[in-house]
Amino acid sequence: MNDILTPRERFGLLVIDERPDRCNIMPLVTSHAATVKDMKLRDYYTNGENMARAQIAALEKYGHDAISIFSEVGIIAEAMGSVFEYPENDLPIQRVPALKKKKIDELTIPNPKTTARLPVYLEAIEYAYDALGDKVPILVYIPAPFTTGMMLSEPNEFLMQTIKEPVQIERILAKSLDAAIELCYHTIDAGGLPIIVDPLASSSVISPKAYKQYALPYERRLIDYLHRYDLDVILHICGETTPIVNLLPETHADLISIDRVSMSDTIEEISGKLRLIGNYDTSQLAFSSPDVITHEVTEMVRQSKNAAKGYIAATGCEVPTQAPAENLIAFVNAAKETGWYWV
Amino acid sequence: MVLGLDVGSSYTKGVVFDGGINSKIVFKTSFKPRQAIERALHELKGYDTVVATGFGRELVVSAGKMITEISAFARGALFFESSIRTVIDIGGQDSKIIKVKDGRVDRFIMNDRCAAGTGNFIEKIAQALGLTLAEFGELAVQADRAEIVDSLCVVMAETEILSLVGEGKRIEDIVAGVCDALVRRIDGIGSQIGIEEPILFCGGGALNPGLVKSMRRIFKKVIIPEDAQFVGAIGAALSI
Amino acid sequence: MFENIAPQKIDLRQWSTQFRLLEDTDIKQFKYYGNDEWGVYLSPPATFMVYGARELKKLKFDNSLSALRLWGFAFNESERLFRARQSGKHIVAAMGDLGTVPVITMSFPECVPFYPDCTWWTPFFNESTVLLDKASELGTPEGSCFVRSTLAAFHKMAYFPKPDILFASTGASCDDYSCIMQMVEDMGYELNWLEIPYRRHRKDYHVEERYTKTAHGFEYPERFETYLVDEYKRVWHKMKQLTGTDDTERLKQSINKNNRLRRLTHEIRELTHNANIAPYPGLEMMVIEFGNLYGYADIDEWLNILSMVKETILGRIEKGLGVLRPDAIPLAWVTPTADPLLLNIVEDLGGRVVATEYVINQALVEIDEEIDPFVALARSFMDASMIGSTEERIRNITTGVDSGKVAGVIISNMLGCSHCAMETRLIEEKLKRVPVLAIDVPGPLGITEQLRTRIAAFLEMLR
Repeated sequence: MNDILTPRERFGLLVIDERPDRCNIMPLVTSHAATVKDMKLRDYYTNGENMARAQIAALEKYGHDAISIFSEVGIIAEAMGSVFEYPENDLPIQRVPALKKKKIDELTIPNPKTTARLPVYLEAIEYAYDALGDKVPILVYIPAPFTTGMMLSEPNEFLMQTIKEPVQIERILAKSLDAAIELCYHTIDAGGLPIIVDPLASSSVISPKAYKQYALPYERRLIDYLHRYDLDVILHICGETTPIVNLLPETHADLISIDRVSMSDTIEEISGKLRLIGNYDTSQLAFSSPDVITHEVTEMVRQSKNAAKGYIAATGCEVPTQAPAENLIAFVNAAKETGWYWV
Repeated sequence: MVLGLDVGSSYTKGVVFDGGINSKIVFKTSFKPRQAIERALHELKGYDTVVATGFGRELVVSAGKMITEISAFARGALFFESSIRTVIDIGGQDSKIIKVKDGRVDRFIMNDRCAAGTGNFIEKIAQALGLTLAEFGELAVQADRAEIVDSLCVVMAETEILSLVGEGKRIEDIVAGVCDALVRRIDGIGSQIGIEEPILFCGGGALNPGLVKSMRRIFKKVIIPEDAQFVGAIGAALSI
Repeated sequence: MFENIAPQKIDLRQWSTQFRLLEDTDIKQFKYYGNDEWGVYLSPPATFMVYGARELKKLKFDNSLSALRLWGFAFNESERLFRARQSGKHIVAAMGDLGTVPVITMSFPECVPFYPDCTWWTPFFNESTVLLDKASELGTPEGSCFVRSTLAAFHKMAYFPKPDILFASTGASCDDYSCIMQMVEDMGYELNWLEIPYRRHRKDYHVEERYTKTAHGFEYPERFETYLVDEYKRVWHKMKQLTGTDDTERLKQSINKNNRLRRLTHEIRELTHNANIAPYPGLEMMVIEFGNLYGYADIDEWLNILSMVKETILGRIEKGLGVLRPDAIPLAWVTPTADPLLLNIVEDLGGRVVATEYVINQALVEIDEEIDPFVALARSFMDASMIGSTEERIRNITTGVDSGKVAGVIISNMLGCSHCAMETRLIEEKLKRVPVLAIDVPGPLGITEQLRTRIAAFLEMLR
């Protein structure tokens, strides 16, 4: 079937509980887009125009439904003082966390227009928005306070502190929240739709109890801030989410993007409350073949497309940079074929 | 002293004015209006304030005042000759026909959509005939008669002219025909507001002797000021 | 809220800053259909920009809370219609009629009227050719105007839900739109056509007929009234079939409510146009005038918003404050511009709109509540802008010109609109005693520097 709607129109219908022509298809094509333009990764994540141009090229090549502005989850932490290295062909690597050099009180809320690589995001949003903001949603991945908090600290120390010094943790999270709000504010003014990513809050990293105590309340506060704008908020948690799936409605997110969980169980648990996004295994995109991918994606979409509040066909995590183009094309085509709603 | 700066799409014109022209400058804008403005502001001396006009007027950050080309041309034209009723400016990318009454703009019309009513028409045809603009103007005045060029569209006119060349018509008569076609086009556009004479003809087009001849052929009372290209800049300076 | 901030026009970013001052509770109090879950509509322009309304990045808006409500409500209409449908209401498309069919349909319980033809603004607000391109693909005539985006919207069904019933006017109506509606019918929609008579007066004919006059003093043959009553009764009958109800008392109530809306709009218009300093911007005023046709699919909430707008305006007039400079040049605007940015540009360059002829002046006329409601509706519609002569259409403008209230007239001439192409020159001709600027409104993103210069020069000429 040929598409009837633009990605913008399709997403617009989904978020008001209407069935579009077919399900939205939003694999997390992030830095993978650099490969479409044969761009060095460093050139991608340090230059907003490059990032946007690569995203647009990827969109044209694969035919999915969203632009994804993202480099890595340390972006806010870096702007607050963490030191990162920029390898030529790899994502930024954290060398020194901000709290190694600073006290919590010394952490300031960065101005996204001027600090570190935050302007790269804003520039990328504006470029993409000017180019095709009328047709395609521009999703901007904002690290949630818990993830930023951990990026500001030594991870093990941070996790220990959640048990030993909860007051300190709350102070770090409060600052991280303010920084995330500031970035969201500027993201919106540039034309981007913030989506919240909290990979370090997954059950692969922390216990459900710690999630409930430290991650969820700050996800909720950030999402509530975005709800002031009447925006529909996607929360993405990659990694293991089975133990916390039933807590996700408490975040107030409108759409939940999940990774390694059973889709059918998730549908049973929360699909009446939230729109679901997910969750194809990204390692398959890197290492499997178009035939296998077509088969598996068809099955995933068939099983999920009728989730009560709607469904977006996506990958559970970022599309690997080395994923062959034909695999992504197979993903998108299979989802288009199976995800058709209109008669 | 006031610097009147007319940042046109084809040429930038600047005049330092104190009741008369103190100094002046003109050069190609070359699609770089910011640089052109810098150059004019730098090369002209002795002014206290700047009034900007022309398509690039809003880029003149140091301007004390900004006015549109319409007001500027009307004012400048009236400075040269107070009895005029219509100002016709044929510029590189657009043309303006402005009717003046009691010392101010009464009605105006601009042709900015189609090259046929602008100096661009002449440039394109000259290019097609392998002539410089200067050669084109000189040839046009040597015409015995003007060939009829009917097409109002540059692209169509090019074909028509090449066929006239093929028919062995004199090049002088062909280019005179091209000038007539442009002035007839202006006359047609102007009929919407009613062209009244005397007419002051200015802008880059007034530097082309062929066009001047055509203007005089089609209209009766046509005044061409000495500094025809600077009418807008002078008008800007006068508006302070 | 915001009462202490000096009135001015602000851009999207300034609105985002100002929006931060609102408490969550402030935001949540403004709902439609009384719904808590999805009924909130008080969002800053940035929200709608994020969802694709790109021109909002360029536009300037009034900085009052009433204007924020007004914009939020107008931009929320698409969602509101889908939500109306989801909550079991009937969606009624009233096309080309401009003012009367909604009054009838609002008499039926749980019925929400709207105008699909208003989609003509969408390509401009979105700075997008998506709908126009699709309309061409679907075979709209190349020369038709921006209203052709309605055809694409019917194809896509992403801008409004599939209506339960469609009414469309033809006859003395916009011909481009009428042509588009025929194509919508060919898509398989069942259209209920209403034939609108041309309002001719006795000078034109010699037959023996009785003539009467509208509230604006336009003459017309009395039998047109009877004819229109029959047309409106057909609408009533169709609505009865759809809803299973038939209560003409409710029609009287609907007329009463719509009269409240018309009076309020009229008052706001008079206050704004006659104040020493413009208390409200021209663009917001255009949104208000069009809301008069159907209350943006929730007349009750729209009435609340207008009451707030009126308060803002009264407050500003009392303090001698406004949003434009005191010496702004008073202009009349003829034909609504498809590109809202033009209204902004004219104001930025020193103009001020003090009289309008947006082809919907009939919706400002109160409907007689003392006589038979159908006759009253017919009589009020006979005042319509589009169904009479050019001279009648611009009578209020000529009055403004003659009284010295209007210094110049701007006519927006819509590219592709055959009606405009014919009438703009006629209007210019009839308004010879005042300077007139006819603007060819180009397609989305089509406003050029030359067009700005032309507007600026026109205002310089008037100054």
